[in-house]
Amino acid sequence: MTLNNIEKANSVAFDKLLRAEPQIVDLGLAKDVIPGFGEKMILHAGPPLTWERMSGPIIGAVTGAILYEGWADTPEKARAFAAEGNVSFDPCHHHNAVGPMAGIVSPNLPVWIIEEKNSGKKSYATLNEGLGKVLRMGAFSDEVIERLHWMREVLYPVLKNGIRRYVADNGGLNLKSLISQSLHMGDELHNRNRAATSLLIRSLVPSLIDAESDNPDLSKVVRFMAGNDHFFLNPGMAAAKVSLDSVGYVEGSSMLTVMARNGTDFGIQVAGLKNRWFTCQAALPDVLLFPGFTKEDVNRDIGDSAIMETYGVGGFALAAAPAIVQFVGGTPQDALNYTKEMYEICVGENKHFTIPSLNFRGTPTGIDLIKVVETGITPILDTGAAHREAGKGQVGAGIVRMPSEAFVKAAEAFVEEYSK
Amino acid sequence: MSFKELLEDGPRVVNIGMDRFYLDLLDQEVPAVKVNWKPPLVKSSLMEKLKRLRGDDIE
Repeated sequence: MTLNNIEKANSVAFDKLLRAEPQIVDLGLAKDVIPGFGEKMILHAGPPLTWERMSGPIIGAVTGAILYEGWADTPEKARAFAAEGNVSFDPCHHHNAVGPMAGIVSPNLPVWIIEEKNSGKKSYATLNEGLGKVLRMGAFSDEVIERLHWMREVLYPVLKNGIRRYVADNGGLNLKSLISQSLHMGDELHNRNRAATSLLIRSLVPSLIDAESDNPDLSKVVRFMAGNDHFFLNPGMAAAKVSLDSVGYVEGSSMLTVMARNGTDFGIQVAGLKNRWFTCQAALPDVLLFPGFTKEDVNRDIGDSAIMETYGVGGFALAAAPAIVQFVGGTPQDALNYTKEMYEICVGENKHFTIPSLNFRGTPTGIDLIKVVETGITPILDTGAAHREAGKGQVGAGIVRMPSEAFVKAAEAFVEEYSK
Repeated sequence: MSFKELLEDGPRVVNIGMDRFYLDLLDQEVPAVKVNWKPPLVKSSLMEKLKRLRGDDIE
């Protein structure tokens, strides 16, 4: 394998990523639509993880999911149910799915169905619950479980009918175009999804009215979506996931197709190393904390949302989102610097996703494993941070740099694989 | 730059690595340029193998 071959392989992987056309095609229940979803199965964020190694936010979210599913009726019984081995745990990534923060998906949670138009591949993500006490941050109080039931019983059927009407009239809802427009409206698509959420609602509301005009719950559904700036994050993550899945295995490519964290470990996958995980301890985020919290409260980095940076947005597009930089503890110049630094470790620049403040330069896209280990620059994420104890929720947000050990392990495996 | 020029004109500094030296010079109004460089994450033997795979000229 020589320069031409590795460069060519990375060029193939990069082109496949940029050609991907993710679109919303439907909603469904996880157990009905996600491939290989077993009975008493719960999916989680990041690389594989056993109950014994789960951190507080994941334990809290698993507890909430067991209560929601009705497998136990108190938090104590729910934990015992999991500890006794009654639940089958698997990473979202092993089922073409992604989940923010704890990333918990249980059988009866509704999920977005995103399809890549050229290949027909699909990906899945739950509906975003909003901020505050929510399952993905590890909260499992009554209000969390009640909201999940409302989302299943009211939001899901109304939204599903609206999406089906939209798709019948227009075809799948084009997420690449929506992401591209949102970058020009101040989003970076990880910690700021206000523009993308607004555009999604603007697209869907006419179809929702057409499909559900007689439904008294319609206004509640629209208010719920409009009241949550992160409503777009989950379908956005699934768009990134199906686009990176459409890259698949590319012999000789050192381009990353997955970065993910589970609150204990950080893991990556590389296009030229099939679906192997390379893992290390997840970073301890040094983020801007909400009032009342200290550094000791922060859990290790968590969530599949790193798929946004792997896709070429999120922290990599921070220069597009000056409105977010104070929330994550920085200045507009810091945002420009972070984006410029990420060009050093990427295969190319994205012709679809561009940044106005950089004279419409394309976002740095396609993280190159070899460039990461050569430059010593590891990817940055623009992310939320969860409390280390189950049930406490979010404690802050900020910039987190990914730990290097997983990249070193992948580089060693890359040499071993291609020196044969 | 000769020693005489160094004494008469002052140093011209390019800083590689830790920021502290560069920032101290700026505090003292000494012109300095910072190069954002870090050592590779992997041992030089592994980096050399990666470069060979990539087809870089290795001396």
